[in-house]
Amino acid sequence: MHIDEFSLGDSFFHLLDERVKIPVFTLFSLHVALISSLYPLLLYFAAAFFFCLFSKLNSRKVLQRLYAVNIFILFFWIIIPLSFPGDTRGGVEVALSITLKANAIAFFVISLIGTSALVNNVSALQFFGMPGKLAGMFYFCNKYISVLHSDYIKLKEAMKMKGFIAKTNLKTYKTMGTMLGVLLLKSRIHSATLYDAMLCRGFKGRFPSFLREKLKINDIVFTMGSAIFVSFMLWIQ
Amino acid sequence: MHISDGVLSPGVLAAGTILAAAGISLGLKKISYREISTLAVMTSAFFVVSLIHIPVGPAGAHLILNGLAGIILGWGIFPALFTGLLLQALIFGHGGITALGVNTLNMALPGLLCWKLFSLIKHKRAAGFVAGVLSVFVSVVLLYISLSLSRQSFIPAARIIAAGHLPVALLEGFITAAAVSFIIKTSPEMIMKNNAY
Repeated sequence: MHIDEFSLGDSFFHLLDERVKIPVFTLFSLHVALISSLYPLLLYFAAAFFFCLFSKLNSRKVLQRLYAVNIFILFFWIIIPLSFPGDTRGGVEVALSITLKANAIAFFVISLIGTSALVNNVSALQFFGMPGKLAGMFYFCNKYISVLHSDYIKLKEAMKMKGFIAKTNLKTYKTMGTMLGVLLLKSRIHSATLYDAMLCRGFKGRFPSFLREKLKINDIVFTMGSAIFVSFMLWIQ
Repeated sequence: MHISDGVLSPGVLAAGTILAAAGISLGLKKISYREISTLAVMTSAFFVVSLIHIPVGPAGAHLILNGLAGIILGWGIFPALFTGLLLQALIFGHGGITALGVNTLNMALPGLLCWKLFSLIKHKRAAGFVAGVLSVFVSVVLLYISLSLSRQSFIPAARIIAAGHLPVALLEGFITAAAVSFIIKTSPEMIMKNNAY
């Protein structure tokens, strides 16, 4: 499991500052979520697709991500047109609008959020006023998800060695529950170590920031371009 | 269980976001910086466990475990689930970014309910089972409400999603009961002194 899987690269979007990318992302995705007509949605979808294209990412990984996004939506495609009051056309339009919205936002997530490391994004959010405690949650989860994932893999291997096979029965569920208990115990031990480490480094209730230094010309050009684009979309809507 | 982007109506999105933000800020207020490290590492544990595929008959299910999270984390469940859900959306594309508030609320509120309920029931293993079943059940009800309030035509789809989650509720009951009985035997302070949060 790799948290920052799209963050490495040297494309235009990788070089932008998070303090620019996050507000633009918020604006775009909010507008997409609120739009009701199909034509502006198509334009947003196209823009999002090109953003993703210009991020020069591994296309297999991008497709994997889109697969996860579209599984839930596929379900709506099956149900809504069949059960829509009135005619099928209305149902298809609703399903199409959901698909365009979800995929446009997914492309924006990949190109505007995914192209920065999580710590940089959280630092930018802190810059915009996110509480320090919440930022701490993200910094620690960034590290400990992979630690606990490897703990889980070890437990799984140990269970396999002892002949455990997951089936649909109470014994499986009881074993899984106990395994979960062990994982939570381990997380308690990790958190004690983590807190000691924080104290050793002189933690006084503030997390250091991982921001890049100054905004550059490309950041400013991108912000202005995005502002023009959104105003245009608001106008044609 | 995660609602994706583009499904919910603006009204539902706004209401969910505001209520979730209130829950998160209350949760953060009740937690000290000392406890943030514990909360974050436990959130990571729940995150990892939610990825495990568990067989239920011919199909399979992913655990939600908001009942157990509520029992152990108390009010901390709001920031914990917010962090977990945002990371799931960013890492795997599960659940929408704009629907994050609604998804957090739908899962954290039942967990909080189970936390209150858990302290009322004497027999802790039974309490664990009840919490596991009830948390998923209430989450499904909230999911149904969010979908049907957004658009009338979502009701048939919402019904099917709700029905599909009923076996998951039972499964979570068994798993939560087993986890609770293991924790009570090995480190009872983890759930007995949860009033700290």
